[in-house]
Amino acid sequence: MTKEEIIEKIKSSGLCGRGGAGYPTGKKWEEIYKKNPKEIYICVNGSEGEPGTKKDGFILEHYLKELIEGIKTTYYLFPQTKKIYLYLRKDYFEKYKEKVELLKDNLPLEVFREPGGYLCGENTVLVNSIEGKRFEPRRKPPYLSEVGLFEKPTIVNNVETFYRIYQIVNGIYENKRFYTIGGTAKNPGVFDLPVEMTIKKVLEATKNPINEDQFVQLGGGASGIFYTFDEISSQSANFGTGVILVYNKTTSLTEIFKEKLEFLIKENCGKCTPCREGLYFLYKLVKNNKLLDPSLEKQITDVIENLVVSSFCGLGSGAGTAFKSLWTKRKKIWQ
Amino acid sequence: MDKKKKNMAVIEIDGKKIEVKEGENLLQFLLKNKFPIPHLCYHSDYEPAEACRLCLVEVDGRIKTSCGVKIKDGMKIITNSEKIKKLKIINLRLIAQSKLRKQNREKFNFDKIIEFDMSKCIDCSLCIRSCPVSAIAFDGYGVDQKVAPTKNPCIDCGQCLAHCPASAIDTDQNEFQWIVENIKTKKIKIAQVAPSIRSSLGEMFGYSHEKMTGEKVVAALKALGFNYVFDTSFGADVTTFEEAKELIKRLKSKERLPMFTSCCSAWINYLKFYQPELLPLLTSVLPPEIIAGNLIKHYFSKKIGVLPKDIYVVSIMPCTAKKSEVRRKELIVDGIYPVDDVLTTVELGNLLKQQKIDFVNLKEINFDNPLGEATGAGVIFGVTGGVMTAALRTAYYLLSGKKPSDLYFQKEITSLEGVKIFNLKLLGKNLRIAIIDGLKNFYQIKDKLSEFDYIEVMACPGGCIAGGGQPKPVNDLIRQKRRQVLLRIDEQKTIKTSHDNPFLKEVYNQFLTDEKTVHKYCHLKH
Repeated sequence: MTKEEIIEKIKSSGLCGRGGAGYPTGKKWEEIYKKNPKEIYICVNGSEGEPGTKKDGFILEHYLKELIEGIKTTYYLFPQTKKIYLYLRKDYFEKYKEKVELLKDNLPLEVFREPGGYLCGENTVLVNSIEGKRFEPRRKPPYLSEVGLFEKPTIVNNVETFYRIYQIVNGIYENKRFYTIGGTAKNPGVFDLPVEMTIKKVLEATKNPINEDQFVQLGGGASGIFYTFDEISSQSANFGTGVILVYNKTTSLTEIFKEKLEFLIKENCGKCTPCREGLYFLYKLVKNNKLLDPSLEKQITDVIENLVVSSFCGLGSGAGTAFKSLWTKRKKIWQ
Repeated sequence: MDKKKKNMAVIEIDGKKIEVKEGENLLQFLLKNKFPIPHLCYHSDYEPAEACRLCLVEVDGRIKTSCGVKIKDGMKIITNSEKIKKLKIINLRLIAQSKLRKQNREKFNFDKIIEFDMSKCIDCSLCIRSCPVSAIAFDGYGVDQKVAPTKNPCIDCGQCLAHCPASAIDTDQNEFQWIVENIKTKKIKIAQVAPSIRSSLGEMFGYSHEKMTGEKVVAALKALGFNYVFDTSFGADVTTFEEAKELIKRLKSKERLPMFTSCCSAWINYLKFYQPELLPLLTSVLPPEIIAGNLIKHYFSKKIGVLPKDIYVVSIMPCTAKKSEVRRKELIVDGIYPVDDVLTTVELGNLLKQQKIDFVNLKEINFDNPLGEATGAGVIFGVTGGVMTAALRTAYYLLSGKKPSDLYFQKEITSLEGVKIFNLKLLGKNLRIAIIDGLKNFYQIKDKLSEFDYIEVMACPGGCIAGGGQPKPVNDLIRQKRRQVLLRIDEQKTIKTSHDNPFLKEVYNQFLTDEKTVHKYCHLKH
């Protein structure tokens, strides 16, 4: 297959990045391919920091060969690649480094141990962390595809995206994605299912049906959107990292906020006010059990909205979107 | 509307069409045009951080921080919608509330010169961006994030202090109180005033940047109880004379080239900590303040019949690094430090306010003599390029016996540029020169030093006029204004060459009469 044919195939497959942001992969790669820069870098993002998500680990465990083949295809498309970084969170690194070394052949690939936590999964933070810089997001523009790792154009895609590239090139892509089911679900795990399904269908297909006393968070434990039982039958599950976390109403609003906030106040980069201080503001309220104080309702709504619209990067606005969805649906869920 | 001019964009701000240069920073444009946009983490000296999220505007319907937007043709900008107003207030409130979380944070200290009160920090990162040696950085993440010293030694340049919008960074207050106490109790007190003070102290009392207040500074110091007030620029004339001689000598012998200027103390600190192998390239001539201190203690003391040890010398400096310089043991002459203490411009201003001295209505007083009269060359030491200009004027005379034309080389230094490289024909010889404005720019020529004969480095962009001890705010516009004050003095002075200073001649006739004495008081002992 010619390079042009491969890119055409990726484009017509409709594949979107599986790291959470969902940008069309074919379009992204074609732009770089046409510009044909002298040197580029490729980063395979296996940070998998979004709480609840386990699909990248699943791929590494079961489809490592296929993943490497997908990376090889990319290298074939971009022979000017100076280096490929397989960027793995610490436990994945320990587990799979040696296996990857055996499989990589003559790929200029380095298995890179993620030096930080949740933050490092954000593409620009990932690039900074490889360069040894502080873990904080970069300003955009310039985009990584223009000025990325070591100031060279850089492709950053999720582990699953490369796995799907392997499938596309070999004609076995069936427009599927991995769903991780977790939380209080009866049958948790990682499942390979069609991209366009409602949450309800995914839950049923994986033997995890839920009832009126339950609700879900879709897309990630930190930045996923909450849906009530009534919503899941019409809501597409194709969002974020494809994780569906099931919750029971016996867990209170405050408990959920607390769990998320304890994680986020430590794991945000500290750069921007809405995220660093906004999250802390909410955390303090939760800690003092004041989340449901009616006199604070407006203020809480404002701080959450501010997090959504005025954060520096996607992690902040993602967290905001998560809180906003639960906050606006709280009365419906807990009556 | 007529056809658009090249590189110009037409944008709409709050419904009004405006023509503006394409690519200009949106926040800077809005501020220039008096839009009241709040901002804490932005400073025109540095790349935007887009961190405080106060300068929010709507750009084509999307909410963005204006500091991160480059103006493009056709942009529709809204600065005052209800939504924008609300978001700004929320973020400002969050920043204010963060003080509660930080209230128990400690202070830390660089060399007992610069003090950082972490309870006042607002995480804007301006100090981090201003530091030329990365001596401070963020430590920790999220709610635990702090600005903290790194392993890199601080060079005391004070740029962090000059850029902190929250007054979290200041000069060491214990040290300040100690100096205030000394001024009260010491018997014979002599102050010397750096050239760039006269273009900046007035700012703290409502004077415009252009206003020259040198004689008011003298009056203020006398009101504080100083017996004599001298001009550090006089020391600069001596430095110039000695440095010109050394330059000629080293050019002839081709030894230890390029020669580095040495009047910037932060620059010297940088070399000491980071590139000690380059120290021998420094001129051996002492900085003006130190020479002036030596002359006060060992020459002027005799004139008034006092022992050197009984004189308390305070330098009024635009600089925080000078505080570290005066403690250097190798400067001790006959058991005595040339200068006892240093007050920055801001510290002096604060002290005057504390003592309720009515600066504005003080009657102007001239500097005392014989160390109070400087040439134009001595005064321009306060701007980047000044030291070199002064030295070249005198070198020209020493080599040719002719007077250099009036503002010899001044035009070379009137632009604000990070790295200035040029060749000068000096009596048939080609002199390869570099002027580095801002220490960060030194890194650009660090690896090609052999391409030069003479290099001036000023750690603070703009030179001493924008030093770490100067009043806030500072930016390129203010630098330019303060600069003009000193350049204008140079233009107006009848004598523009250091070696022609009549008082300098007197000092050389009466005191610095032989090489040995000159070396003792004007050169660093190696």
